[in-house]
Amino acid sequence: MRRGAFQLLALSALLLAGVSGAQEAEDAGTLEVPATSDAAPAAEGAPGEATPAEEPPPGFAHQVEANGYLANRLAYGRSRFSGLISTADLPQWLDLLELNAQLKVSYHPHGFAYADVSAIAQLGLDYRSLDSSGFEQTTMWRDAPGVRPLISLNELYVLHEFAPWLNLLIGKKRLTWGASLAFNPTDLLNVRKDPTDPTFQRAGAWLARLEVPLESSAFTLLFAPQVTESAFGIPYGLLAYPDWDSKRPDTDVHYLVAARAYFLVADTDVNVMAYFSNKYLDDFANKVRLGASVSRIFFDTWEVHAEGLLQQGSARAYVEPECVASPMAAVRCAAQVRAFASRSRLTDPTWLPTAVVGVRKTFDDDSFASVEYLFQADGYRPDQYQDLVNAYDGVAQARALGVNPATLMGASLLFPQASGDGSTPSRFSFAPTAKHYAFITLNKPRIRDDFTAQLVVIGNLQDLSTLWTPSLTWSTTEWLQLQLVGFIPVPGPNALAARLQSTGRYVSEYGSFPQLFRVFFEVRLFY
Amino acid sequence: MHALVLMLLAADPTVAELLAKYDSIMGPAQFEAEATMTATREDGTARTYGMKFLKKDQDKFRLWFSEPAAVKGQEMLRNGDNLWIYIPNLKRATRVANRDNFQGGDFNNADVLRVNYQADYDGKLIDSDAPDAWCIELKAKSKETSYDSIKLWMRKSDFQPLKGQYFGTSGQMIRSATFTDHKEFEKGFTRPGRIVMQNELVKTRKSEMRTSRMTLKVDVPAQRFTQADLGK
Repeated sequence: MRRGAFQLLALSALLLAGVSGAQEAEDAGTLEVPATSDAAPAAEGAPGEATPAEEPPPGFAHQVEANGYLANRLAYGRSRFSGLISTADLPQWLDLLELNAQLKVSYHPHGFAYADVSAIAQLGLDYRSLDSSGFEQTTMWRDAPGVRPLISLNELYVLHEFAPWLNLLIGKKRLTWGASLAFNPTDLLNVRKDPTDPTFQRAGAWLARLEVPLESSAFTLLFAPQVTESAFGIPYGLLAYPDWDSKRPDTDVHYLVAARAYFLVADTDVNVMAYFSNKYLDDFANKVRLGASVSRIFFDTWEVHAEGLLQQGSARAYVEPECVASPMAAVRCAAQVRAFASRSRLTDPTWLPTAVVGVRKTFDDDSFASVEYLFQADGYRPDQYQDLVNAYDGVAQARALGVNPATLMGASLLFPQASGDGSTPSRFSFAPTAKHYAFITLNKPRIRDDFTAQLVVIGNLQDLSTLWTPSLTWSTTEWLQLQLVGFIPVPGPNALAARLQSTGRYVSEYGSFPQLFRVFFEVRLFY
Repeated sequence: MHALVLMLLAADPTVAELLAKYDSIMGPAQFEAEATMTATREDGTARTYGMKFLKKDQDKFRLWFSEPAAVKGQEMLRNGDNLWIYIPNLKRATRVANRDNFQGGDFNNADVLRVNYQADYDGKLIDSDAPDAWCIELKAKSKETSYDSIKLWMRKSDFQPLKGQYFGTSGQMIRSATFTDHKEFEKGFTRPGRIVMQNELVKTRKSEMRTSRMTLKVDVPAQRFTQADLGK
């Protein structure tokens, strides 16, 4: 496939559709916003006195619908500057201002263009970290990559329905086929959602999708090219790294092809999925993966779901135990130019499942409780997690001795790069490392009508460390929402934790969270 | 003979006939409608939701929220006994139960998205306290329904619903409804333009549904009532 051809085609189609829709709406001299609530209410009248009906609506008219929000989030998090993860780029105070706009232009009775865009400005203050002597150092201001302003093109697509049973979508859209709430193993397309608030991450993936919806089934085929170049959240390279990019890591074509069949059978949602990808957001080449999900309501108020992905091998990075067993072993590996970490199971023929099973119970007052269990066969065993901790410990030691860990072979795999696709900054990035996790959500809406309380607990079931996320949301009016959220990582028992070789300190997954705690207050105005 | 015909004409309708009438008025086989629901809460404040409905066959229902801005883009779908809600921020559909409250108001999802009393309830005619209305007592056929029993008043002259009382499994009245502003939305089709659902457990709560437009002349493909169509 010719490099850049797809992105040009897709972007041209989007722009043409958007311009065409907007132009036609303008030509028609109308900017119609369907406003059912603005319609005149039914005339008051005594029972039995029938009044004449309103005229039926006219046929199709070009429509532009716009809505969105303005949100400001002020967060404070106490940096765990003496932990395993560097906090040099992590501000203790962060103010994030987001202006979101969602625009839908219906350019045809069977087609529309849609955009969901956020402009984000951030201000980070008070950076705490350790200096080379091991003492706390404070920097009030700095240019941290995660705190730069950005435009997040969450979604931007055109959808055209050629017939009720055939539609085509081109652009960027967040598609989720799986039934799980906190974590979707079958979601190979999107930026991971935040399990402490699955509604928060709204950024999708660039793709072309052909769908055949039928009465109780649907069949989908999609092609997704990877974004290779972007600036301020706006992509300008898809599928392959351009020739002019002096830092291009490879000359491969990065894409994913997926097919999905959906069936509504015996009141159960059933999805069956197949994926073929080549270095799409991971290092798998020509990889086939299979997925499935089911969801059903039992006994009127119990929603039960399961979702799983099956793949051969793993793209996860594993630490070489012989290189991190001791400082001397590390020196020996460095001298022999052996990799400290590698994707050693990339071509492993073993079928490795990742699965989530869960249940959600809704109560009479609309509160709900949800419990989900995640199993990932390629997750670290406790001894492999100990190797990882040893590696992080060694990196910290090397830094203290003035050695740049980036020069050590394979060490870069221990520090995965954040997505450069300009997605909305996460409250919390969930990158599960262990084999077993639990997610518990308790939600109680309408406490004194406008308040919703929620508690989300994520637990690593191997070391029993947890992350507690309580929140209180107040919908003060129909257009203003205030939210207070806390993040409290709690270490697991020492008996289940890994141990630092350098200090003997115990380390569990959430006990090594780069912040001791975090709270934020958000004001969101809808329009 | 003439007298016999008159007697037959004056005879009470059967419960089955009354339920068929109720379903044809409150849940015609297919229609498109626009409505607003105003939920009055315990503190006296109110929230108003704008929405558009689409119904096809007896068990396919679609709903789009247009107001307020905080819920704009939310959608609901019923297909048979299955109910989904699409939340734009979640970018996906989630299954919900029929008994869940509709947008936190005093209607529940089935009140709005499922009107099929013939299928859901058995009934009998009982003495009416209003001389111009029939009164039917309905008993749920299964535990899947929203209410355990219902008392329903329908006007004798045109079978329009006037009043309803809704009871839980304990026998306690949990909701009551008044149907007013009967309006001819389309030639030959009249139904209440306003329904007020009173919460009988928390007397300060009530929800009012006003229908501003309704047409039975709709031709929509079955694909509009599939999970894949949500969020388009």
